Amino acid sequence: MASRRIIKELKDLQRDPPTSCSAGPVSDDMFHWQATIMGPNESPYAGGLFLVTIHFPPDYPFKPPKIAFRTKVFHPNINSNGNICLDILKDQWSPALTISKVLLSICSLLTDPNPDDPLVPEIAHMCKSDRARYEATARNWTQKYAMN
Amino acid sequence: MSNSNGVDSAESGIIQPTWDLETIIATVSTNPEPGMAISALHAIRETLANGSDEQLDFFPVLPVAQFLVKSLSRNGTFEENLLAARGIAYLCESLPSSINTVVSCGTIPAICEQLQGMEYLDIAEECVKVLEKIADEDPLSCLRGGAVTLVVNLIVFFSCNIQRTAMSMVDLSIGSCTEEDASLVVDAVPTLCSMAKHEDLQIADCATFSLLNLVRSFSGSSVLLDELCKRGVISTSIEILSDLFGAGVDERCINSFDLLTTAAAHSLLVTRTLLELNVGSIIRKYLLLIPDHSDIGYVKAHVFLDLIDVIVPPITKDAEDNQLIFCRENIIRDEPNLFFQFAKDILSALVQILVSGAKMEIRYGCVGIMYNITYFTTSDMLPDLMKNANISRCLANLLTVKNCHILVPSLKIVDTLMTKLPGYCLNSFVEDGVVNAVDELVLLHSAFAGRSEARLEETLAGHAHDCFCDVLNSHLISSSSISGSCRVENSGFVELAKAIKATYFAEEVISNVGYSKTIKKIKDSCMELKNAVDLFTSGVFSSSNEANLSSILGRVMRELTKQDSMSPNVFVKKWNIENSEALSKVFAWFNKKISKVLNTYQKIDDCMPNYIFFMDGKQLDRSLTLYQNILQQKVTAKTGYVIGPEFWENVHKVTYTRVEELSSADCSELCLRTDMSHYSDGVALLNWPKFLQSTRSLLNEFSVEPEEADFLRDVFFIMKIFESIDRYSFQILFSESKKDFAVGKVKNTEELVKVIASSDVQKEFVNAKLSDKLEQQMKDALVMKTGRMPSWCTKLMTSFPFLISFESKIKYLFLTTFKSSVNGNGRPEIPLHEIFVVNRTNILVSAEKMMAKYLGSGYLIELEYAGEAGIGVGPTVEFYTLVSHEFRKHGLGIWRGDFTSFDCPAISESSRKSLDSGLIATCAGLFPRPFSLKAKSKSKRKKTSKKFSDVINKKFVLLGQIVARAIMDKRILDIPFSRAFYKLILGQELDMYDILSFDPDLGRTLLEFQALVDRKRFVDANAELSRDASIFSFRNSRIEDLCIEFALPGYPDYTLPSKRNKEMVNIDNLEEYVSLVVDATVKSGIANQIEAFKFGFNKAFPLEALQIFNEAELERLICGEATHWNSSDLQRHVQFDHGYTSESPQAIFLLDIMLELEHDQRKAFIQFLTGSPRLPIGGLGGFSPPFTVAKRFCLNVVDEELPSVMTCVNYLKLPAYSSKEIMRQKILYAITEGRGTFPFS
Repeated sequence: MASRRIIKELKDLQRDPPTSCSAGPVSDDMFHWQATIMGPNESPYAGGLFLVTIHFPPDYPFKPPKIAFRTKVFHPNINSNGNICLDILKDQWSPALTISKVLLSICSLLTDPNPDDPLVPEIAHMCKSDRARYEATARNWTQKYAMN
Repeated sequence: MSNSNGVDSAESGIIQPTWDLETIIATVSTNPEPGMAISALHAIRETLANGSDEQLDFFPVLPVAQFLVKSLSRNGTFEENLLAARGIAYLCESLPSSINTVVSCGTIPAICEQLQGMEYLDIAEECVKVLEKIADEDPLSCLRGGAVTLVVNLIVFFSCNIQRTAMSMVDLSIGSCTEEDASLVVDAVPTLCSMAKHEDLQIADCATFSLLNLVRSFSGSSVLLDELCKRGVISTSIEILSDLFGAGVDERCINSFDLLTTAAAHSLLVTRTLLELNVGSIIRKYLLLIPDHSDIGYVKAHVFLDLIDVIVPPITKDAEDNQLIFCRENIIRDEPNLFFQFAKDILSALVQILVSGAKMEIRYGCVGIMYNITYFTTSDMLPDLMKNANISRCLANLLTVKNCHILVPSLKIVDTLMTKLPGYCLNSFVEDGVVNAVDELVLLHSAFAGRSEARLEETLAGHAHDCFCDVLNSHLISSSSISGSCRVENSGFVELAKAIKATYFAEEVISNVGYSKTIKKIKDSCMELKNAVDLFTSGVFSSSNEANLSSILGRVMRELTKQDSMSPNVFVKKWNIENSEALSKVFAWFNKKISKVLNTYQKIDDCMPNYIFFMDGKQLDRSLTLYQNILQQKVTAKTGYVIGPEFWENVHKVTYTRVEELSSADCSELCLRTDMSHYSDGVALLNWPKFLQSTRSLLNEFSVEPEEADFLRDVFFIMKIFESIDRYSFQILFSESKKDFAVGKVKNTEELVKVIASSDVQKEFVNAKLSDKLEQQMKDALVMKTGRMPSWCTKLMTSFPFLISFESKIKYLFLTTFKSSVNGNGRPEIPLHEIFVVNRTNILVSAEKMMAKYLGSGYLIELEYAGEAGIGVGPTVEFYTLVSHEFRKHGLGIWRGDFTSFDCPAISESSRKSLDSGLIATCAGLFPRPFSLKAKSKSKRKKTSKKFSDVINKKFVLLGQIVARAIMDKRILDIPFSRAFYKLILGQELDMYDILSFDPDLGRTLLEFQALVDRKRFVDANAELSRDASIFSFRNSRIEDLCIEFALPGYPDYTLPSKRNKEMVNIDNLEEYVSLVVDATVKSGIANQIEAFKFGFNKAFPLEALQIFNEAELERLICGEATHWNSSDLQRHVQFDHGYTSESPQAIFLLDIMLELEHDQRKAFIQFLTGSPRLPIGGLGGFSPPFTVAKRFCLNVVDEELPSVMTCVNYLKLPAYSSKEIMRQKILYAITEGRGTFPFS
């Protein structure tokens, strides 16, 4: 039985889609979605199209959805498995948040990485010490993995 | 005989070697050609090495020996000498009976001559071998021949093997040494001393033993002992002892102690040297091992005690030793500083042993020594010593031991101390209960006065099966004549006690100690308090009553916190209460503790001059009570203010700040409640009147003599209240801010959750004295036999368990529930073992069978896996781990969070790992998933769900059984239950707050919802307030917009018992929704499972027995300590043996590596070592036998070998890796790959 909350979120997304992302169920399973995020223009990820999977827990919205990048991203808060380090996906989750809000937060995380609370310390270090090199690598990866 | 036999053999045609040798020797002696002699020597060797038994039977010992000795003389060539020496060695070895002949031929002088020359090492080594053989048979001639000194002088030149032989020879020779031979060995002593510190254990052992023998042999002559001392024997022994410390108490260590004791007993110089070398600190170290290591029996303990006993001479003088003792006393008097240091070290160690409850014999020894030491202290040393060691508290303890052997010296100590320093001692004796204990003793006697004297002796004798009189004197030669009869008269102590009481503790002296005024004040306050409480609980509710009660309470508290408040014992004595001792200890604790608690909860007090308090921006008058202050504020704010119920219901906020930091904005806020009775959310945890009532009835039960115990009852009462406040501090704080939110003071629900703060001060409530007392009670022989405790213990445990330490509680549990005493960390003494075969592929089924068979039995179950060789503790421990993991697996469907494709959102390395192994990963611990009994209307569904619930319940029955059995067997489970689940086991009712502990996301949201509900109620009740929808918004969304179905989150099959089932949640039905979700999650949804768990558990032993623990302690009991250790734990608890010492580089590597392991690696390490991923109760120190590391000897390249373990004995066999990095690699490999089976043993 699909949650009415999830159906409502899907309808809201379809009625009023956010500018830089889209999302929807992969198949009949309403608890398993896929989303795409367009790399924000003012970031080294610009031009890239990033695939993201979303799993809703059965007790959604009391628990946060599980979200992971399927496309490789060079980012201090996203690791090689696609896991995202974002407070609202962990202890700062609240039922008042929605998938749309979460995707927007991820977009702004792409624009403004948070190297002080990193998931990948090496990238965070580079981001802090050699911003240019970080941006070049991120652009390079975006070209390699997120544009085709 | 030999001749005729020889002829017979000759006739039968066999070559006669005996004859042959004799002929050869005869030929050589006539023909002095060197070649002849050498071939003769070869022939002798051949015969000795390869000759038949018959040939050896008729070996011509005398001529051969003479020939060999002659050849050995230095005139011959090197080869000749060497062969001769070898020949003698062969001869001695093959024909031990020939040794006397060999000696009589002058071998020893010949050898000595060779050694003296020391031209060739090979010859010298052969000579040493010969000497060792001879020493074994005839040590005296070796010694008197002067060989000992020669060999010892050469010993450094030999290889290790020969050094061993040499030491063994020296050892054997010295064994027969007497005083007359002193000159022969004295010169060897310095070398022996250095040998005693040799790296090679065998050599060191031998050398130590030789020194001991020397000291023993010379014990008749103090001159000789002084000589030994000058040559460093004493300082060497001290060095050895301090080096050996940490490696356990082995034979060498005991020998060294023995040496010191014997030497000191007969030489004054030695005694003085020992004091100068600060022997006290070393003895102290060893003594402190006693309380922790139950395996140090009294024989070992007395080795330590004996040494102290000779340094501090006994006061009861035996005529013969008078002279020596007199001199000894002089040393002590001449060197007060040395003695002070010694006494300080020893006394504090003795006190620790005595309060730890060591064996009676050891305690007897300790008390005796304590008496001797106190006898020699001067009055200016005493205050320091008593402060350092807390002697008076220890004495108070000792005086309750019903054994005259302990009582008499204890009383003597009291007597001595009172004579030396009456003023100081009196105070501390009164405070710590010594005076009271003496009184008890006198009373005990008068209680028996009417009956026959024999009865009293009988009571005491019942506790004293053995006489310890002789225990201490074993080392004194003069006391060997002791008759064996007990020298302490049973009733002697009564006279002593009477005398002490009459002389020092007369009634008028005690009452003048200067407390009476305070006592009277407190007594009056307590009377008032009692009356007020009575009035309050009798149902007469009025605000003035409440005010009265609270102000009296405050007054009592302030009295109690005053620095110079009365001594509890004086107080208790006045009331003359039964069990006064136990209660007085509670009181003493309370006196101290309450000030701490008070500082936490009621921070306005005279004792806090550094704070300034504000209310509504105005500074409070410090001279008034808080209540008066608040009242005053109200009255000034509004004339004609009457104290109505709202005064007590409202929260008055008081802020405080430190005086020094007035300028800083750092003002903390403290909510001070004037009343705790009204909780709108139905928590009602501290329903004040109800709470008072229940506590009071509890206390009534506890008290002894109604009238006199009132004060103590009140004390308990206040303590209980504080404990509850502490326990529910989170709830109280949260309700406060929730109320603020309801009335609009706090704007957003987000800010509510910020109050979340947990305190863990439960440990603060533990009273060491009371725990001590309980432990002592549990050591009582009668209690140990029957498992029945006196009623005060039972009552204390049921009503005030928070006063008792965890360790004592465990002992209490085992004693009262399983009727078995727990010795140290050992297992309960269950005599019978049962072997049960387990199938590794189906653990749960095996577990079920095992429980069905043995659950309630007293058998100790040992396990064996089908098809594997391992048996015993290791596999059994692993079994509990495996069962634990079965219960944690995905798909079992009994826990929350067991949604097959989802895990806990926190993606940490560790949780990912456990997901791989198929275990449910929980951040907050396992909690049963809710399960609805009332299934949906469709009949088919009902049936399946009924069946399903049966399956679930069966699992919980089994889980209950496993947990119970694990506790009984002291095994440890690897199941991370949540705190809330432990609360359920303890029979507590859960509420919304507990959801936070196992599902923080849900819990937080529910609490925020509840706050909205409260706000809505408040708004509804006050019609004039704005009803703008935005004030009911949840994080800027309307509740309706959250689009939450009216169903249990995550469990859509669960039917909430409500008509609103098809609706969505909105602000109007939110209240019902929250209460139904909470009910389903922590109450009705899991009630059946918990019942099943309890049912299973109770089959083993009554679950009520666990009531004495709190949740955290229960977790420690069931799951053991977390894998926590630091470097001092490692230093203390990891032992190195068999090839390693704690100084070995490998030992240092290992400890470093263990320290650097991460949490999961530590778990794996412990699992590798013991079979269980958790440390036992007591952490690293809880291993029994202790965790020991031994050298693994490898045939191949050391750095390619792996470490191995013997799980049954907690033994790690570690190859001597060349570097730390290699060791780390190998250990990590072993702990990750070696799991699951028992291939290495």
